[in-house]
Amino acid sequence: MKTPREILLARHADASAELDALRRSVVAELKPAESPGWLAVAWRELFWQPRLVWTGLATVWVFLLGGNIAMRGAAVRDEVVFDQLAEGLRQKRAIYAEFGLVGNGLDAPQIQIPGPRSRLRPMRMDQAAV
Amino acid sequence: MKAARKGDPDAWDTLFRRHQAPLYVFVMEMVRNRATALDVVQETFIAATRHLRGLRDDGKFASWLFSIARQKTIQHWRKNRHETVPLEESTEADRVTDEDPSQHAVREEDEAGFIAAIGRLSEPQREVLVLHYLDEFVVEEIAVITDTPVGTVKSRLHHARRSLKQILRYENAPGNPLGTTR
Repeated sequence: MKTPREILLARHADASAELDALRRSVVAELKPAESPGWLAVAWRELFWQPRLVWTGLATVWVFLLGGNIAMRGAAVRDEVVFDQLAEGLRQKRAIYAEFGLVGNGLDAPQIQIPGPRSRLRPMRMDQAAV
Repeated sequence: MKAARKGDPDAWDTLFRRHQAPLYVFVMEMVRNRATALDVVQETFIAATRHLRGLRDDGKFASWLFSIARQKTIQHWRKNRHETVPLEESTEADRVTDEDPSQHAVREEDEAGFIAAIGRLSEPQREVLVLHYLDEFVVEEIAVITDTPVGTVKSRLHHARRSLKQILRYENAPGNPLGTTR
């Protein structure tokens, strides 16, 4: 007794030669895939596979660049405004000087710039010794 | 499979050799024309080599291959609706053997009824039954191959077996080969 599988296969067994021939023809057309070079591997590993990460980083970079350019423009504008203010002050000072409203600079309070604490320390030690 | 994915011809040769006969029988049972069946098998092999990337699970290669063959068969039907050769005509024309006819008849006396009965089943029933018998595909795999719900496959398989038994009983075919199946 044969199984249905055996019966079905036996029924069409006479086609095996043709099947072999067509299988060989299909396989003959195949070429083994060449192993990729190090450049291709590096490209795939470094850039292609983490392409989403690179895309995200590029987007962040673009935003940062845009922000940077915008900030630089603002800084230039601030510099111009400062120059204008300084010029205005100089003019005002010249006018005051012309009318004698401003002294020769002796009235101006002396600004004492404190030195570093390290300079004071030996003096204090001297005082303590006395 | 790993070697086949790399395009190794020997690996493909091994894979195709393993499946070529069941694949051909399946297609042949569907198209019922030897030349067409061979064409479909060839197209299936070519498509398999081109689209292996689409196969995620290597263990499902057989069912994947059969599903390609089924698609190719359907494409063939759509292209050549009027060129289908009836089974009896094609098989008689294709059976070119130098065997003694009487010996041939004796050898097939138990099988002829089964073969004839399969040929008389409806197309969907024959499809699932041939797949079930040929590569011992489980219902889930047949469902994937035929792009049909599992329940429908179960139903078709059940009705196909019942119809087959009825036909064989009706024709009083001796040596019913269904008795040997799982």
